[in-house]
Amino acid sequence: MLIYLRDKLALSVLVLLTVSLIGFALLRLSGDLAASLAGENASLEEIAALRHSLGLDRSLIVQYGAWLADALRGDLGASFFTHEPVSRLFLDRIGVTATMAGLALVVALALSLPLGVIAALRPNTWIDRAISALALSGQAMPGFWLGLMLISFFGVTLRWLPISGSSTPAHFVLPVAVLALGAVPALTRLMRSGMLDVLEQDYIRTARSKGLPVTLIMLRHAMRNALLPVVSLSAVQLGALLGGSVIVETVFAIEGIGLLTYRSIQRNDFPVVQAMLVFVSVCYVALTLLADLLNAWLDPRLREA
Amino acid sequence: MNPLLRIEDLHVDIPGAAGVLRALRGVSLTVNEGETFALVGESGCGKSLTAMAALGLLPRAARMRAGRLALDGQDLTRFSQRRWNALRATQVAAIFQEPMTALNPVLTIGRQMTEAYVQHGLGSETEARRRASELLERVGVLPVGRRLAQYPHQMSGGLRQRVMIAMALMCRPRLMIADEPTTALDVTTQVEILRLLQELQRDTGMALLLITHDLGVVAHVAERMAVMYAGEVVETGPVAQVVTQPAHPYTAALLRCLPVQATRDRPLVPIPGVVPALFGPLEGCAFRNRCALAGEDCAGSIPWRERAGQGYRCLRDEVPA
Repeated sequence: MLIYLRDKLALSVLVLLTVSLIGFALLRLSGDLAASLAGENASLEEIAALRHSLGLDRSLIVQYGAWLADALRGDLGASFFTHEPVSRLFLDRIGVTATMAGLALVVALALSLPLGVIAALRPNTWIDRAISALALSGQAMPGFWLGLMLISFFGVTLRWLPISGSSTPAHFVLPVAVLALGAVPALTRLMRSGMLDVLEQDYIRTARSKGLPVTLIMLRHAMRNALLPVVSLSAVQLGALLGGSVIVETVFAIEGIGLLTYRSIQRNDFPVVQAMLVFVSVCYVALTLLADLLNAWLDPRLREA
Repeated sequence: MNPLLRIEDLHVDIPGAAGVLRALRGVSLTVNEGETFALVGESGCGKSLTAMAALGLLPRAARMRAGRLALDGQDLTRFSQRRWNALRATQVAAIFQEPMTALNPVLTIGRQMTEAYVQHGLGSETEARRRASELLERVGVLPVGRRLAQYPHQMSGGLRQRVMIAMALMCRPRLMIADEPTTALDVTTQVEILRLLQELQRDTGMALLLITHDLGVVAHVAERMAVMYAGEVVETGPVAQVVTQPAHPYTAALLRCLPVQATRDRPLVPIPGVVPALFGPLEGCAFRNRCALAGEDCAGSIPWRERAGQGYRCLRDEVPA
C-alpha cells in the first residue's frame, strides 16, 4: 500500500506538471495579452513596452519556468487588472465553491445510491425503467439550461427561492440542485450495474443460504462491494463539480472561483485562469488519491496491492 | 430410518427467450435423518436446481410448477420468505462448489461465520465467536485466532472450503447440502475435504445431501444415491447396489465412463449422442436416443419400477454392466 501510494504520488506530480505546461501554452496562444491590456488606442511602442514589463516577450519555456518557480514558492502572481494576488482572490472565494460542490455531491449520492439499489433489486420492471428514463433525461439536460429553467420556475414564477447571489442558505438551493442533478445520472447507473453484478455473485447466494434478512444482505454483503466503483466515480464527479461551478456560478451570479474564472477568461486575465487550471487538476489528483484510500478501506484485497 | 427431506414430483420451469425450459420434470427423492445421500448426474441435469429448491433458493426466473417439498413433516411448498429464512442455516445449511467465490471478499472470516448465529438468535456475538473458534479448530483452519481476522483472499481454496464447512455447521443444521464441494479443488485436497465431511456427518448426526458428477466420490462416502438425467431421477437405491448392478442403462453408461473402472481390456466408453433439449413436454424415455437397449416401446410412457430396494425408470429388465 505504501509503495502504491508513493508511485501514485509521483505520477500525480507528473500529471500536474503536464497539465500546467499545456494550459500555460494554450493560454499564451489564445491571444496577444499585451495588445488587449493596453487598450484600443495604444501605440505599437506602448504595447511593446507593456509586453516587456509583463515579461511576455521572453520565450514560452522561460516564462513557464518563471511561473513554475514562483508557484512552487506559493506565489501565483497577481491579476493583470485588479493587481490583487491570485492566491488572495482564490482564498476569498473557494469556500463558497467548495461548499456548493460538496453539498451537491452529498445530495447526488443521497439520491443516486438508493435509486440505483432499487433499480437493481427490481431489474426490468416499470420502476427500474422509470429510474433509467429519469437518469437518461438528467444526462441529456445541460447544466446552464436546467439552471435557467429552475430560475424561471422556482425563482420567477413561484418566487420561492432567490435566483442570484450567495448571501443566505436559500441562495444555494437552486445551484446545488443543478450541480447535483448533473452528477446523479452517472452515479445512479453505476450503482445499479454494480449492484446487479454483485447480486449475481456466489457470496450473495451464500448469504441467502444462511437465512439472513434481505436488508442485511444488501447493506453488509452487497452494497460494500458495489460501492467500490461508485467511490472512484464520486471523486471524478466532485472534481467535475468544482470545474462545473464556472457555469453554475455564472448563471446564479455566485461569487465563487467559478465566476472569478469566467470573468478572467473574458478579459484574458491570464494568471487567474492559469491558477484555476492548476487548482482543478490538483483537486482531481487529490480526490483520486482519496478515492483509492477509501476503496482500500472498503476492500481488503486492495490493501495488499 | 426417519425421512428428513422429502421431495415429491417436483417440476421447475425456467421461462426464457427460447421458450420455457422444463428444467425439473417430476423429481422425487427422500433423504433420511443422519444419512449421506448422493445426487449424481452430468452438468445441466438439474441436480443443483433440485438442491437449491430444498433451500428455497431457486433462481429468480425459475418457477416451481408442481410438486411438494417437506422437511421433517413440515410442508415447505408454500413457505413465506420469512419462514424460509428461519429455516436456513438452522435446519438446512449449504456449501458450494467454488470456495473462491462463495465467501464475501470484503468481510472477515469471523464476521461471515458469526452473523447467521447471531441473526438466528442462537447467542451473543461472543458466544458466536467461541463456536466459530471451536469449529475452525475442528475443521483444521489454524491458528484459529488469526484466521478469524483474515479475509478470504488470504487463504487457499482448500482452506476456504473448510471455512465454508465450519460456517455451515455454526447453527447445527439437520441437513447439509454440499453442491459439488470438491470439484474446484485439487485431487489431494478433494480427498481431505470428503473425509472431513464424512467425519463431521458421523459426529453431528446430520444428514448430508451430496451433489456431484463424480461417481468415484459417491462410492466412497454415500449410503444411498439417486441418478438424474435430463431433469428427472432415473434410478435410486443403496450405493453398493446401484454401482454394482445398475438397473438403468444411463447409470450403467456413467459407470463405464469412470477412469478407475477402465482397464486394457475394458476401455473407457463415452456415452454417444447429446442430452435432449428440455423445451416443452418430453414423451417417453429421455435417454432413448443415446441408449443401446432402446426400442420403439421407449417412446411411450415409462413406469417407475422397484426391484430389491432399487427404483428405476426403464422398461428393460436386464442392463449389461
